[in-house]
Amino acid sequence: MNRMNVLILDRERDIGELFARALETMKKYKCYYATNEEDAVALLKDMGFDLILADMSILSTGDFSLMRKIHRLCPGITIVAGAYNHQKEQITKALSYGAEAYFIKPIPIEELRKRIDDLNIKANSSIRPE
Amino acid sequence: MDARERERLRKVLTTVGVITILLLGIALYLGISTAREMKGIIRDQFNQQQLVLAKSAASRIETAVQNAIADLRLLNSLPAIQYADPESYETLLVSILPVLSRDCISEIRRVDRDGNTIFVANDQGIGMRHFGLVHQEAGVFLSWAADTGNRGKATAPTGARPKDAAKDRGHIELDLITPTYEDSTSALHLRASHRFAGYFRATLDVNRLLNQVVSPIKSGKTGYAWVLDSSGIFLYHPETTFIGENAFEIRSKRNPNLSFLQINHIMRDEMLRGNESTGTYTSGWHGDMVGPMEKLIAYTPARIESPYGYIWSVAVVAPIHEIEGSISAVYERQILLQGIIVFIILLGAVIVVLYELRWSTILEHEVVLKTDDIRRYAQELERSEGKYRSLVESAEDLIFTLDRDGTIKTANQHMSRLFGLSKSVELTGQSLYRFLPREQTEEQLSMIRDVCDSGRGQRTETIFHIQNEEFWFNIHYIPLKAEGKEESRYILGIARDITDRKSLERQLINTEKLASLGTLSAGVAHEINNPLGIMLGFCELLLERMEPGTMEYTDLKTIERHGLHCKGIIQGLLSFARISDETEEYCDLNTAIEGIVSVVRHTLNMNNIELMTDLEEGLPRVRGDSKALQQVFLNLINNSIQAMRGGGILSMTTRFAPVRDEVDVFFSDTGYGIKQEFMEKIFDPFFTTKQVGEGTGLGLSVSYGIITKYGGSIECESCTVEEDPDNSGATFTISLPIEGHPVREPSVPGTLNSPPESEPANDTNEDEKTSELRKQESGKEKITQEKTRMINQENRKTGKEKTT
Repeated sequence: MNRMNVLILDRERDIGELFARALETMKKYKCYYATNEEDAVALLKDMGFDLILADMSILSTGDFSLMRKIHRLCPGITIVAGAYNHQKEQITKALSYGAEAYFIKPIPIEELRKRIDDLNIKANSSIRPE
Repeated sequence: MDARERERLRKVLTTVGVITILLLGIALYLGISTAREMKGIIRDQFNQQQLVLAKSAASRIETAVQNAIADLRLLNSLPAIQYADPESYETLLVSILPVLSRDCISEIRRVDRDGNTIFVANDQGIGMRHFGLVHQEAGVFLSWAADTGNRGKATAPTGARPKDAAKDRGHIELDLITPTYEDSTSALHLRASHRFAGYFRATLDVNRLLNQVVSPIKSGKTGYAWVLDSSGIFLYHPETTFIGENAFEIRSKRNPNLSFLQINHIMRDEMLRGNESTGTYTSGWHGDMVGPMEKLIAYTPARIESPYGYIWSVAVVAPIHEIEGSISAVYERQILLQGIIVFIILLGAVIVVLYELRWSTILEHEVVLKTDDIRRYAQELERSEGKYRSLVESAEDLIFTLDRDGTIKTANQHMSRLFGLSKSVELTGQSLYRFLPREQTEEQLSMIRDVCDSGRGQRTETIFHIQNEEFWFNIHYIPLKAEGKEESRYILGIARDITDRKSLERQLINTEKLASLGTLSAGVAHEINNPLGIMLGFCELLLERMEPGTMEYTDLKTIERHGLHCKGIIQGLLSFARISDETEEYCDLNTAIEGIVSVVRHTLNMNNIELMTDLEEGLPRVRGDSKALQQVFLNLINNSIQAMRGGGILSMTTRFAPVRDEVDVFFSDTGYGIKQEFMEKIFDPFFTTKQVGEGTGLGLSVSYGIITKYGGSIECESCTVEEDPDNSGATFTISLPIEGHPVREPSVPGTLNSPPESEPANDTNEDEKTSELRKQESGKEKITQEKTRMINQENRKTGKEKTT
């Protein structure tokens, strides 16, 4: 089985570590994490990713310019945004800019796993989250 | 001036007038009598003067007669006359006639002892014997002369007589004779024979004499003198026609209409008797003036030598009016002046009186006007007072006056009602101590005394306990200055009930507190959330790798547990701060309840709690997010579970209330209930009766927030074990407006939607307020604790009997 590449983008290094460890136990994901946009872009350029879990605050800078970059760099990538409770408009915007799904932080890792699984990403397939 | 006073005034005026007239009369009378007296005096004086004149005239007449007699005697003593020698007496006569003429002797005659005229000498010449007996001498002459007793005397043997009675009675003469005796010697007659030789007669021209003497007499202006003789003949009168006439007759003849009684009387009884006096009489004319004329007369006799007391009477008369005229003039002038003065005085008095009358009328008028004015002002004042009184009385503020010691002087209706009395008069005189607690009264009184002493008003906000209720008042004390004094005895107080404001303020403060708390919480929560998430995440990871049962596993579990606790708090805080993720606008309550029931069923069973649901069919949807409402329900259920340690009955009921367009949800348990003193606080944030660490104390307050956010209300009724062991428990009633109901804004604390109520100013229980509101809005039928209890009891009968 092909392991999918997952990029975790969050300013908080520990969250990246956490999500990466959580997903990697599922054995079908290979996780990388970046803490800022430049690093993320560098990684995206470097290799293809299937999934990116991005923190909303990074995602939304410059009117979601990063999202466009991501789409350019990795067309067909699934973008999942992680947002806090109060960032509803941004969630909506992110979705409209092409984010596949969103989750509310903090999220227990078990639920994260479940959500990602439900996304049923099969290397560039896109199903809307429930 | 009323009629009575007018009457009196008229009487007074009349009396004064009468008295004045009387006085005037008296004055007049006095004046007149004085005048008359003066006149009398003047008359007398004048008459005296006239008398003097008359007397002088009379004496002059006498003197003239005496002169004539002297002449007679002188001549008689001449031998020429005695012896009547023609040669001698001729020359003599020629030379002496002018002399004699000067003495008014008009004729001398020598008559011999036989009565024959020897010679006559008069203005016609000298007549001698050879004229013959010219006049038959009156025998009386001779007989008198022949009387030796008369030797040496002279006399007028007859009275004055007209010279020629037939021709002219006015020509009067008087004969004076003296017996002649040949007593003298001369050249021819060397020896005196002393024989009676007849007599010697001189005839006085009376007219001339009297003309000389009398006519110049002027008495006053036109007064004159006339002379009468003993026989009543006018010997002299300025009215020349009178001369020689009978005085008694001639007047009447002249003016037959008048009566001359007076003058006749005077003449007859006085003058002819030789009296000397003065008097008055009325004459018919005076000079040229015809008419009754009153005259003053002074008369005196002139004695003529005669054998029988022959007298002439000289009268000096003057018309009274001449004398009195001037006097009268003076007196009239005086009387006139007096009259004028009196008149002026009277006039002045009348004017003064009139002015007084007018003045008093004007004053009266003024007084009436002023009285009207005063009455009008009084009415206006009354009206104004009434207006202000009604203002004060109807005011919603307390308006009162107090003295320094706290005795109420006046109070308006509102105040008496507040203090529990029916009328404001009942408050007067009462002491403030009677109505307020001691400390509060003391506090106010010290402020009042300050106000009194300083003379400046003060404002204060203070709380009062009146009749077991709490009120907040904003009071303005104003000193009432008594006139002229610096210190006030009383203060005016206006107190505004600000209880509602205070409670609203408190609510607002609470809201702000809550809001800031919320904001703070939100911030903090966020800050904590992240690390917390990471913590829990790694914890989870670790737990996956640990074997359950190992110490590591247990320790990790402990860590997880507490981490979750923190999360719970955070969530609660975030919910509390209204940061929510609701997505639904309306939901079905029954579905929500059923959903939550499925969640808690297991827990309920575990805790030996029987669940009874009574969900009305076909409930309309209500405003709200089902998740949030479920959170509320969960919270209530958890509370009930906590309250029913050992078991109990939990019942959930839903009802549609069409009257209110609301759905009611009742959560009722049979736990140990909520103490009365806690009832007001249960919806306060962080209020909990649970042990530390067991609960956050936010559950009910969050629930309250959620329900009210949707425009609903949540209330609680409870009965504790202590109060009623058999019926203890709590019932929470949630009411939510249905979909489509034009809901009023939720009664969130801090919004001024609920009408202000005069409730005690404690930490207001919003639910009670809301419930009050709902109660007021319509007659509601609520399933009370009672009913719930009944339901519970019924349920109990069917279910297990539980005691807590």
